[in-house]
Amino acid sequence: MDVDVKVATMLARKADPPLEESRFGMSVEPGTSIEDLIAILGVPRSLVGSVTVNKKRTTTERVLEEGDAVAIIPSISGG
Amino acid sequence: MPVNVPLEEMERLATEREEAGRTFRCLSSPAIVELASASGASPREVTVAALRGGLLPLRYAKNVGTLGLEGQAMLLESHAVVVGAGGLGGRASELLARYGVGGILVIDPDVFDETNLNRQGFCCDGSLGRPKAEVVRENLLDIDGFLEVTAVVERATASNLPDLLGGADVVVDGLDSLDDRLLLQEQCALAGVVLVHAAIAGTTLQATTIYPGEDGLRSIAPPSHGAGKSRGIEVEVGNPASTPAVAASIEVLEAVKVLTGTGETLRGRMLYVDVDDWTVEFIDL
Repeated sequence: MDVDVKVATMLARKADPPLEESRFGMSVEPGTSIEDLIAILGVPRSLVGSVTVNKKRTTTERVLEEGDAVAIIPSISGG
Repeated sequence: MPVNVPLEEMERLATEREEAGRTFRCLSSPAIVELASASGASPREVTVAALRGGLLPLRYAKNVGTLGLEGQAMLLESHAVVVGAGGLGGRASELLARYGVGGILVIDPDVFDETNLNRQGFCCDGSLGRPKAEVVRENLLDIDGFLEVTAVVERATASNLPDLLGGADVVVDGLDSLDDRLLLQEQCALAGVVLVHAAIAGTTLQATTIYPGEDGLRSIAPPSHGAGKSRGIEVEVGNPASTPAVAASIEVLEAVKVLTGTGETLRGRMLYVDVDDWTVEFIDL
């Protein structure tokens, strides 16, 4: 099934390997959670702060559905 | 305190000026000082009286189109506390002063060092080694000597914050760790005062406005928080010049809304901006 993904540009660069785009569509297996997606994308889990689906904050345990728009946002604390 | 300056005296020293599509009778700062010295009131009290009498102080002329005379008077009668005088707090303090927020308390335990030069307001070669809060205070008074500005060169803690937040109408977050921010949020809730938050990392920023009793930053604390992880991705991507300045501007725009009771704030949602690809998200808290 297809989902739209937005990875914060700084997280995209820190991914292993680095992601070329910060916004893209991709296919995932049914039953894939956001936690799984973060691992598939190689995004360092410790740098992830919030995740949203369709603009609503959610947990990384959430299982994705066809057409979901996921955003993976870093934890930031600088001043 | 009512100020005993007759409106006719103010009018005598006023000049006419077009501003924001209207003709105003305006008072220069020297005229306000003259009226203050003749009446025994402070320049700030005279300024408020002038605004309430329909006169426009020239130093706030460019604020009037958005604030109006009464909004400006409300800011002059307000007291803001800025916790942290680094990249966010220094810039936020400057903007609060330029808006004419009458009382500003700046709290920071640190001195400026060379790594602050790229972004922190009022950090210059000449101020290296000096307490940030003191340097900010001096500069704010240079911007607007009518304001009441206080510097506290201490770390904000659960012990001193109850006193320091007393009388605050709004608190501006200029901190740099989640632990300190959660403590500040808790203390603001106890003091019954609104906290305006922002944080930055690299080319991303976030901002929200937290009213007493709301979950605010607790709702976005990562699961790893409390396991010694109080800092975010900024440790790896740094703090460039522009991002804290933008975030501080957003904080002060929010603070002005809180103080004047106008506009729609970021209450209940976190603004997240990724400048690199211009993603703007609002995350419900």
